[in-house]
Amino acid sequence: MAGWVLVAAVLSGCGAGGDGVDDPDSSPTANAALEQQREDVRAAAAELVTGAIGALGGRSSHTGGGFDGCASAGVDEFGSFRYRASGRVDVGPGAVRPYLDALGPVLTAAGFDEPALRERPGGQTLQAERDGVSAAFSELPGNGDYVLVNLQGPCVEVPESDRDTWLRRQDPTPYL
Amino acid sequence: MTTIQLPPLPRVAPALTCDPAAISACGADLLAASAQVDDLGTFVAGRARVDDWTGEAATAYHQAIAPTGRRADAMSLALRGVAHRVEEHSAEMQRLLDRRTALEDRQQHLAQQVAHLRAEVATTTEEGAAELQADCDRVAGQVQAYETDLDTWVSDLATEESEMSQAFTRVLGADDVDRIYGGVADPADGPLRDKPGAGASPAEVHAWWAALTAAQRRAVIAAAPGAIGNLDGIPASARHAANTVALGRDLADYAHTEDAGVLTDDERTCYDNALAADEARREIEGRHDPVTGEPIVAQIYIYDPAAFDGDGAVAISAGDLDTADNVAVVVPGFGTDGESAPYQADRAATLYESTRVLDPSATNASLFWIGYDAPDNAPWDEGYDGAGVVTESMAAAGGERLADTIDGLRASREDDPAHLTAIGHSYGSTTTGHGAHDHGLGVDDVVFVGSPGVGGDTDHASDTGVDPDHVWAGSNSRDPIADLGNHGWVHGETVFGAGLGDDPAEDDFGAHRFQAESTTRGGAYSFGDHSKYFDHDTESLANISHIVNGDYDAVQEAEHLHDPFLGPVEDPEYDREPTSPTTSSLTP
Amino acid sequence: MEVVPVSVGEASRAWDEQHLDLDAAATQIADADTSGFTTHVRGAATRFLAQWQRHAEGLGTVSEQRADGLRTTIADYVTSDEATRGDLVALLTYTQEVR
Repeated sequence: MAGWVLVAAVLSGCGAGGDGVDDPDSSPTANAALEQQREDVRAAAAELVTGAIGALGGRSSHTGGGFDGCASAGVDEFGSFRYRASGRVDVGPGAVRPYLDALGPVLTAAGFDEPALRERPGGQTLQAERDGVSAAFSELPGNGDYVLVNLQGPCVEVPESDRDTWLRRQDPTPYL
Repeated sequence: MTTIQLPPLPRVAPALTCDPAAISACGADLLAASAQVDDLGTFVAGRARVDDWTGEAATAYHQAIAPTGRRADAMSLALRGVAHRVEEHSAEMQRLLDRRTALEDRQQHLAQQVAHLRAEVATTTEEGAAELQADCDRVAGQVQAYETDLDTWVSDLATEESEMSQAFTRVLGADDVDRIYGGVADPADGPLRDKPGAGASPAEVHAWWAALTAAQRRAVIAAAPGAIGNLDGIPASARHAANTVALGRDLADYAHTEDAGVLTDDERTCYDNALAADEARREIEGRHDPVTGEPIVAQIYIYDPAAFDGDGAVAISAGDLDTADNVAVVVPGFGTDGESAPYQADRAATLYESTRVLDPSATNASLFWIGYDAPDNAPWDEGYDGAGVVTESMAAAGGERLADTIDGLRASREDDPAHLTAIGHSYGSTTTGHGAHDHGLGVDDVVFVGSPGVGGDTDHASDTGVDPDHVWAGSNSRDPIADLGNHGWVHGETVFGAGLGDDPAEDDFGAHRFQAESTTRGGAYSFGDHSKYFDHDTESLANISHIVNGDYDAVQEAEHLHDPFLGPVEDPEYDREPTSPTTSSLTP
Repeated sequence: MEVVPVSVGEASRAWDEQHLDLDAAATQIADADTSGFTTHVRGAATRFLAQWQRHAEGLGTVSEQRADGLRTTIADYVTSDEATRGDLVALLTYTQEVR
């Protein structure tokens, strides 16, 4: 019984916010911010992939990205989005493990802060940030002679009216 | 003076500019168009005959349409043949690209060795000459082997290009089509005649499919995609191929009808569902496996844009359902319909990524399943009083369909069963509860998240028919929907004839409760918290992923809800500081 | 004149649907992307698509003619003396092309 009464109360207060986030409707720059984030993340991804090839030889593949939902905001809806890009570099014959040793300078040369090495299941990740963009090189020795490059921008809240557009936005063109 | 015979420089492989994915897309368009032409042949042989019309005019009509049917049958076979050849061409060109990459690596490596040997010649002494010559001979042998492989590659490329071009040109004209395909029986006809009828079990369907030849299967997929696309017992890869044909045909049809300005309201609804399914597939294919970096495989397991009076049915997986070690089926809830597909696809891809990140050694597939008619009256839109009280009837009907889908997944992998987990979210947990209780779900684990109740007849985890040790519940302390389940001795469905059953996160229920709080939770109930269970880097997604991976020891369990006889429900999770475990490919 | 049953009207509508669907198929063939093929194959692919667009359109045109033909048959019948009142009511809705 208590549950039903409580829901009625919650419904009547719906839309009051209360989580400390600014009303996105008052932020007309949200879409522009996401477009800019796309440009920034793709440019950084291209720079890191090129840098990794410079350090380890080999070739890149699967250099793509897209907008992903960040935090859900109810049925069929994300309240915020971010741009994510990834890529793979199959290292050259002369590359020596751990590959990540050679990739710290690639991150710092691209203007990222001091990289941090972290363990992850199956391998290690070298991660750093630059202006809110998080970038990481990952090495998974059991899976093959390659490193993975992943970048993502910060979550950006978008106006309710634009959420569906961002959810359906496709970005099939490789950045490199 | 000793002469050293240096190895020759290896030739560079010629450039190869092509795009196998674009070739495959071209083939898919042709296959969808061939299905449309095939429909004309079927129509002429069936509905167009107007059997109750007799007389001279009727006879003339029947005589006139017969050649049209024959022509359509021949043309569909011809177009289908080319479409299949284009698909093969796509695969062959990918193989040639891969071979070229390997040749390029060998060429670079050999060129380095030759350069090294040339430098050695300048500094070597008479004593070292014999050894150097031996090295040169060894490398020369490798260069020769490389050159032979390069020649073979060039020849294979030329052959493939020539055969593809010939396949295009041999059926250019209508006369060619008639000469080659006129009166030829469709290889799909026999299998379709023998197909088990409605009501056949998934096992019977699987046995029928397994007995067909590869050519027969391809023919059935092209000629009658609707006959197998949603048929339980058919392997996921074949269902995907058939549903891709059906979707491609529908998109072309509806777009053309819209352009012509004659799209009906019903067709508009179906078109929206088809577009949503297409976007959902692209959403998954546009994401990358966090372990390999390769695009995630998408499989359209169910596609029926007209189902449930236009709400539509669609189920698409991230990952290969036929081969994955771990398979998760996610059952969404309130407000879900065909147009929800892109959102559900994002979730499925997110769950796929998370399961892969947390166990790179296992292969996975996450299927979002909009395979039942979910309540449209979402409580956050309309309130329970606005659209009438939500009852279990849709969950009961959906549970039966879910059980069929699970049976189909099992039947198509009889010899290689996956670790299979059903995950019900929101009203989808009520549906999953009904499927388990009423029909028995052949799953290894069952997970309820954000559950408003798992069905009135399921008072305890053991009532699901699944070992209670493999029944799991996630409930965010700020989720108002999860608070709807009956607690303690109050049973809504028995008091009001409405309500959705017991809260699976409560101590009396006997399931494992896992941590599912969010770092972005507010201070009070919020519908936003009802939808965060599948977001990256949440406790909930990490724990669900561990369960899907069968990695039970890694699951962070939570204390159960408790409803004392007197006083409000107590949730020990309410005051616990939420964490943010890494589930995306990155450390946040 | 023989009786023309209502099913003839329904068939005319179905032929119209075939016409619409085949025109859609023709467009789909014409719009298929040939950019993925190598230059050696692209010419043959492009020629094939152009030719098959016409083939599919041709089938669509035949379908339209069948629909028109059946409508003419219906129109002739409903204006004849043989048509009964019940036939007229049922068949008149099919004398016009809906789409």
